[in-house]
Amino acid sequence: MEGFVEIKPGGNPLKRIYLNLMLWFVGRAVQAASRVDPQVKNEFQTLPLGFTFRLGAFPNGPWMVVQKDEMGRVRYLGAKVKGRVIDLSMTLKSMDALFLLFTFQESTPVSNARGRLFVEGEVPHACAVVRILDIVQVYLLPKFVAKLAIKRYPCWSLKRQIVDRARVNVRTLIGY
Amino acid sequence: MNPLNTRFLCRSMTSCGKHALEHLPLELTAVGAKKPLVVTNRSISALKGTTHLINAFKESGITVGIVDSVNSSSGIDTVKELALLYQDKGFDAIIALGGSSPANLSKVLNLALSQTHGNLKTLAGRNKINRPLNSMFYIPAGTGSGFETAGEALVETLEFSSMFLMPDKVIIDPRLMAADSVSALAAQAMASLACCVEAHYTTKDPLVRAYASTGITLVMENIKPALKPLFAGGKPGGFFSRLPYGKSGRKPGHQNELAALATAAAFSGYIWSNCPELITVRLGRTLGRFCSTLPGLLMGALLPTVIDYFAIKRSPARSDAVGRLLLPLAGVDIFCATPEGQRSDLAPALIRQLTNRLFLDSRGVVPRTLGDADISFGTLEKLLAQWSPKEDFGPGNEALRIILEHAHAGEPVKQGENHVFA
Repeated sequence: MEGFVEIKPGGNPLKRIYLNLMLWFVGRAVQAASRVDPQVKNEFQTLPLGFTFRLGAFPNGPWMVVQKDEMGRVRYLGAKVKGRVIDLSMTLKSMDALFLLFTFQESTPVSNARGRLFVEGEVPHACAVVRILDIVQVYLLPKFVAKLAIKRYPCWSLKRQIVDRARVNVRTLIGY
Repeated sequence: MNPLNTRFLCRSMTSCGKHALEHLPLELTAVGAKKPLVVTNRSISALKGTTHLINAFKESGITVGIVDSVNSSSGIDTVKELALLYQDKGFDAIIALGGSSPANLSKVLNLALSQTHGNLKTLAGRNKINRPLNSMFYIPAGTGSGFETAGEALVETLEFSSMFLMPDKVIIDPRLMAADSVSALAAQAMASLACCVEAHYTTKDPLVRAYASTGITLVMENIKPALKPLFAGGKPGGFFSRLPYGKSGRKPGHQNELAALATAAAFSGYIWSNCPELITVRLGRTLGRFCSTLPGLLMGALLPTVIDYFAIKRSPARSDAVGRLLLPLAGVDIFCATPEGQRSDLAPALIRQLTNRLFLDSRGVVPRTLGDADISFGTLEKLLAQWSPKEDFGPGNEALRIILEHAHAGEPVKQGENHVFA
């Protein structure tokens, strides 16, 4: 037929690389913050043992998988989701939506309000994970960027601002 | 008002806003579709509408077929060709991208593919379709007629009407919005306004009123800013006006207003499907067959007179219904500041004021009256002769005569006048 074309849209490698890097960094920062920050520790205590959650984009990722193991330790498991039992899946409707989130053009609440995020799992667990991610973003990002990423910038003590932030960043880099 | 005595059906999910197009792969997966066929026209392709659509499918693994040869003259033969293509290539959903031509053709194509018994000619008419059709999405791009989301389709002389023809999902993304002519955009906006306004004061259905109220507010707040760059386009400008803004008069920051008007148009389609007896829309469409003016512009010229005629009896219920229009038309401040007795006069006056302003700014492109649209009295007589008794409304064809006469002259219908056709 005249004017007919069949197109298989390709990928977006640059966006994928950026998002993989960001998710890798945030995943390791969650692990680090769970050992340093008392608020993050408390949030993880409310989650059951063996609880695994993932954050990523529909349909082919990239993903970030984090688990609280049977010993209660929080571990970043990487980007692979196949073969894992996921208790909570927080999925952005497209990689573009994830890109908006991780380039801080939209905060998590705004993204959710615009219908870009859907959750499979328990809502209280999802709320806890969102609170953890907010704290982690405050640790990782400078204040002017973090303000874009979260709903309200917290008022922290000087020790938490400087010492804990340094510990979280060092632990994130060395993966401990 | 008793909401238990009302009935409202909207089969479409509306998704609008920034990056709304990127949700399309997920929405398709939700209805079990893996290979959609996009039906559009060349003007949309030229405006990079298809490029945005293809970008939205990146990383999704979905293969997309695009046909961009559809135009207003495409008929049943095109539908048959598309149906063959659809079946041969194994497509499983239809996406209409553009204005009324792709939307109409996609609806009929969907009907041809979904309805296993009967041919298209036997299905033409009112409510002949008795079961849901396949998945069909509609993505507005450019300008339309204002009724693309309605449960109706017109291809050649065949008219189809059924709630099952409404698209499953309507996705409105500001990046796809563009307008190159004042008349097309004003016609779309005025058609939406006419449909929403008339539905608002004639029905007691709270759901229709909710859609109508939102539609009216969207049009009233966005029509002037959306048309402004097109008005300015005709004037000689300075250095900045010569900068390349893109094709077809598109300018930065203009798309949000156009998207708001497209949302109002989507709402008017839903309302029209539920309230098919709206006089302004029916009259505007019928008159549009006799002249070259777009039906939407005629609806805008007819609307204040139709409101006047409705309120002419001055019964408290009718005055109250027309008066309530002031809230979406003018906003809460003006509504509260206006005494209750004045509201029913101010509402049609505001619409007249809007059409007069648009007439001035567009240098006569947007008509204030039927006379401005170069419609002769002979044409009106022809319309009156063709208006069949079956289509009669209200107190009889005399009502139609009064409305047309006053809309032609642009004068308000007043109580106790001796209405003699000129």
